[in-house]
Amino acid sequence: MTRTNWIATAQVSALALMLGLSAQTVAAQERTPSGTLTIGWRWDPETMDPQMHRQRYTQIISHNMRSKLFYQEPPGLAAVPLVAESITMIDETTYEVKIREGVLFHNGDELTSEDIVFTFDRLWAEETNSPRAGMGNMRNIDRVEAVDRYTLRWHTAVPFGPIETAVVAMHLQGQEILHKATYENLSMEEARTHPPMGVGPFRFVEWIPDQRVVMDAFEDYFEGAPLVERIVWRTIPEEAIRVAELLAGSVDMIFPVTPDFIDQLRGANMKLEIQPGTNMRMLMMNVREGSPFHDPEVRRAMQYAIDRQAIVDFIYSGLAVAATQVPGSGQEGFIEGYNPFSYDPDKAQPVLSQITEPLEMFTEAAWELPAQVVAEQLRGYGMNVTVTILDQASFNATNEGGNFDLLWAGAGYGSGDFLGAYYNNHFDCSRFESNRIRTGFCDPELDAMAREARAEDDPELRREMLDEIIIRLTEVEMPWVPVFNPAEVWAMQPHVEGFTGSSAGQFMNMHNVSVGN
Amino acid sequence: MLNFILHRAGQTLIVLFGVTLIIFFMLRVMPGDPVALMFAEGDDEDIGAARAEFERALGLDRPLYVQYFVFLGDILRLNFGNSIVRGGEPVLDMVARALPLTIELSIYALLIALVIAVPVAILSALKQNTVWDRGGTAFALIGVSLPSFWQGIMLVMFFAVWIPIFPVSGVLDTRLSITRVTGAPFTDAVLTGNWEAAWSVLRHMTLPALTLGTGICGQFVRVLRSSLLEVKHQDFIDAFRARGLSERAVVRHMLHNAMPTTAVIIGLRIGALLSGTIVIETVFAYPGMGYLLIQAINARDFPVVQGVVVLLTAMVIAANLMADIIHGMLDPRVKLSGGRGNK
Repeated sequence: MTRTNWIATAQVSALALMLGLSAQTVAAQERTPSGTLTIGWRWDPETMDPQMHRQRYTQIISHNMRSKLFYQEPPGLAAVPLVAESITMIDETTYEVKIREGVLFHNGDELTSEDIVFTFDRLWAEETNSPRAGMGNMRNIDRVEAVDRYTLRWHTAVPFGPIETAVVAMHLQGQEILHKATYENLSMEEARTHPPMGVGPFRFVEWIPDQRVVMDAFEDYFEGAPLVERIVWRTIPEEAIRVAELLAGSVDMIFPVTPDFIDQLRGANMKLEIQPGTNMRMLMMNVREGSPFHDPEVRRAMQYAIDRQAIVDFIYSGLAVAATQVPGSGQEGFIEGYNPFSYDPDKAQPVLSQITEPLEMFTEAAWELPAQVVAEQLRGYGMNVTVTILDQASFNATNEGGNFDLLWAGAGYGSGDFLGAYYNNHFDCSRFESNRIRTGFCDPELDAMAREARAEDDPELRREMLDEIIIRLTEVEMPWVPVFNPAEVWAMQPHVEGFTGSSAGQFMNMHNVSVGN
Repeated sequence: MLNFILHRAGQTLIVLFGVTLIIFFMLRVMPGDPVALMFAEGDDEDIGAARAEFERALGLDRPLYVQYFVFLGDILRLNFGNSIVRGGEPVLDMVARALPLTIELSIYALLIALVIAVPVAILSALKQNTVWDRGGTAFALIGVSLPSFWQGIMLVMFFAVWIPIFPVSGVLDTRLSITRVTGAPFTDAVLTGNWEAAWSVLRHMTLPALTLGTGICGQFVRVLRSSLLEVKHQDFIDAFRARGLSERAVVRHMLHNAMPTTAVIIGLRIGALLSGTIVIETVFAYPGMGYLLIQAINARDFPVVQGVVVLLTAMVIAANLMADIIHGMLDPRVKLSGGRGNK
């Protein structure tokens, strides 16, 4: 796409945004926050410094107090402007972002481009040692500069491709904006607990670690005041206790919810919000020499061997989607209707019955049941498969070290990206340099194709290249058996309204949520 | 007495040194580390390089023996390091936040255990080999055998959901807050005269304390019953009865003589009480030491696990020492001495 096209697209977006804004301005006049919403969830934020963690749940809290330039508007994965007004590709290594005017921090200061430059400079500074500094493709960003009070430019070292992928690669949807005047005077230790100062819909009230975070509505939020006056996020690690809290009426909403409790919650007339998840569960096979899965015919037979739909229907009560290809539903490159391997035991049997050596399938406790079902299905072909449960840290080490025959694993794609980090972490040969062996799969030719597709900014050409990569991975190389994507489930009292869950799981946008009583 | 305390202090130092050695290397031998877990998922293009840089900045790329001596040196200066996972929070701050909660919960659980155990043990001992005795023994056995996780969930379902007498979990009603004085919520609420908060804390602690208390009271029942039976057949008890003392006074004398053994058992059970909190606190979302430890182990947060284990060990040793001292004070026949030849 040419530069003119991008500007035109951006102008259309800006117009739509302006129309949207005027509607929101009217709506804002009618929005009066009321009531308290208590959320029981599994986690506690690790810090109040948004640049010193890598956890989604810490980001969920932070995002409600500090908005970002872009965000993935629930329920989808596409990054849409939030504080940003438009983005333009100046040339293949320069992107210009215009931000909204009149956006206020919680202390009344107006947000300017200086705050955003400060945010990214602090993130990348060596002394910050932020674990988020390399997210997306930020290592290949040369600098970000303020052009004027409301305009910024990102300069990249390599082409970042079309705007949709560049936004993700520059991580504009992943970094909450800091208030320069507040944070430039704080030490790292002070910033860890300092009350967050942002431009988000809620203002910080209190954080009692491992107990609760409390935030109040910010009535001058640029998209209009929130509908709920106060949110209390209570940390409740055990799911059975979260469910009991909801049933007892002491919390209004709980997250996450697993299929084990769905019937009980439905029976108690609780509302459920269900969105397709972005964490694919797959069976990884060790494709290195010496493993029975080194042989592509065995890997092909494995694709036919597993009855994915039975797992979705009977274990997950339909709260999952059977996976049939390497990208997940909603992810970049997903090929609609593509299912090269339907369940076919007759095709699997002759090959798999020849594998009689003992094989160990590793998994984590949370996934024991589906892993046992898959192992049982494989035993049905005469394979000698046992399941071993590991804790999360040991499992992660086993995964990275490639020390397994079979691994019941997962891969998250909350950003929706396929060719960037997702491909690099699971398939690119370069991962061996940092000892991330995983399946042991490596194909330099495929890596070259991925790099070429990444830089391609013609959407049709890029789509063709992506199709080829995905078909080769799914049908020819087959390092995984994609099995299913579990849904993200929230449960709430009937009086909670206006909540839309996010497939990405990274956001719980509470701006439009209200409580009836 | 002083000799005894000095002797035990010396032993304590050796034990603590051994614990630092074991916990440090055991954590490193276990698969997985905090940085690998932190970087296990993420959309970094080069997650390996990002991870290596982070590890370097934390000194985790240095040889293990160097890391151990740094850890040991820090501990000698009472610096337990900073959490890797929780944005660099000092471990001592985390412990200072969690420990008072565990102490209050443990005391409450201990009180519940004693309130149940003493009458049951007395009844069992006085009515030996009757249905009361067998009932008391069965009660003790059930108390010891019930898995605390299951018992906790059942108590929640009965007394928080179906008959909502107590809150399900947590420390304090979310509408309330307490001014921090000692960090122990009930004590602070009482000290500041915040009675509504004190009542709320007490109600929140009841179900976890009941779960924890019934788990340990079984053992108290058995020990106290045995001690009472032993005393019951002593000559001086017969003499009391012959002199016409009321049964209540006789029981009081029996208890006085049976208590030293029970006090020792209570002291020895402090370790079990603390380990019991690991499950109970997680179930009831009660962020004490057990909760802190389990979260840190799951995240392989080395400095937090090391710090908490060393401090818990010191506490258990101190509790056992206290039990010995109290035993000595209650029972004049016991002479506390330390070192060779002072028996």
